[in-house]
Amino acid sequence: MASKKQICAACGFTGLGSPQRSSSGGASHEICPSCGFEPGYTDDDQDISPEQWGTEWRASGSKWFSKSIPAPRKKSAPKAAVEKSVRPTKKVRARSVKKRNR
Amino acid sequence: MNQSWKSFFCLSALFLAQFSITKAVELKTGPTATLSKEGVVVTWTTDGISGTRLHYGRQPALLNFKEDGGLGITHEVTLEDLEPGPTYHFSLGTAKRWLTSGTLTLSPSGEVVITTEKGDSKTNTSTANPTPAKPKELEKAESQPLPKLTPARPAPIKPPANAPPPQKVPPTSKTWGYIPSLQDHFDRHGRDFQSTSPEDYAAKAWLFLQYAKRNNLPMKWDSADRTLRVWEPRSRAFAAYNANGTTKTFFRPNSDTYWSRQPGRPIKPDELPF
Ligand SMILES: [Zn+2]
Repeated sequence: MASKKQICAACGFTGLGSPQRSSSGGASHEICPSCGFEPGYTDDDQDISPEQWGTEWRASGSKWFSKSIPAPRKKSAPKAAVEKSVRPTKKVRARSVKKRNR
Repeated sequence: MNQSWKSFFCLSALFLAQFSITKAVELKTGPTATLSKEGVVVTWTTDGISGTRLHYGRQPALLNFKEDGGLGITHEVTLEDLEPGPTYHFSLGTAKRWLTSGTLTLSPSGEVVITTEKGDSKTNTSTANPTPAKPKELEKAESQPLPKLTPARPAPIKPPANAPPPQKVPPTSKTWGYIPSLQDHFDRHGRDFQSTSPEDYAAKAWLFLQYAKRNNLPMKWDSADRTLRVWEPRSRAFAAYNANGTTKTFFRPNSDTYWSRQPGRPIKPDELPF
């Protein structure tokens, strides 16, 4: 893994494994474990910009997104707080399916 | 008096500005409920991106079971422990506010009845099929902006009649690129291929690559990050692979121009580095 910090354009998380865009403009498709932004999907297919996603993510409480990658203790998880649940984590998901032709 | 009018206009302007900037998300379609093998799947859509939250319980005043999810326009939660028979009360909405409330009942025969407080969204769905069905209401809503997708998702890729015998899929650790991310990709995209588990999703992504190689599907090689991108126009399946052949992602884009916008040069299977 590269030593250079790879930052999520949506939430500012600094622990990504690779740049979200390569020099060709190609997307990494790495789902940000912090906010769930997926370059190449959220933006290129769902037409939601990183800025828009980040704004909504913060407005929704900046919850840690990943179900399988744990939130780091401090530094690179901006305001990431895993919400407590009454019961153990259940399988939940929200899919963004903004449709359009372009 | 003059000062009062000034204050009034200032306050009005402030209120209008706030309202226009932070327009509240509204419920667009649903909620609908279907029975899957994992539980009762409740789905709804909103007219903007928002969080996902559903609280439910046996008493309307005590919604002590909670499910939540990530951001999106389509929202889905799976209630795994509903008992057949009793009526459950629920409220659902965004992370910030409730959008609707109602009741949910699972009959012993597997029929799910969901009603909302307004009584205008009553869904009655039963299924013996363990594959989660896409709620009709949702399909209808999704199809409106993009009529080409009206017949719902295309059928899963079927091998041609003269296809070779089924291939043995290597273990997930050999086919998926970054294993810790697999669950998140499955949660988001697994439904596109009726995948039943992260492992099943990863296997399908690997099989898709083998199918693409055999059938000369459109492929692009991006030398900038050594990524292979593959497209199946008929089923509208897209996948991206690392230079060692492991999968980055696998899903069905909605955009008609998705493939044409992907970078890279066309490449033939026999030119691939794996
Ligand atoms: Zn992020």
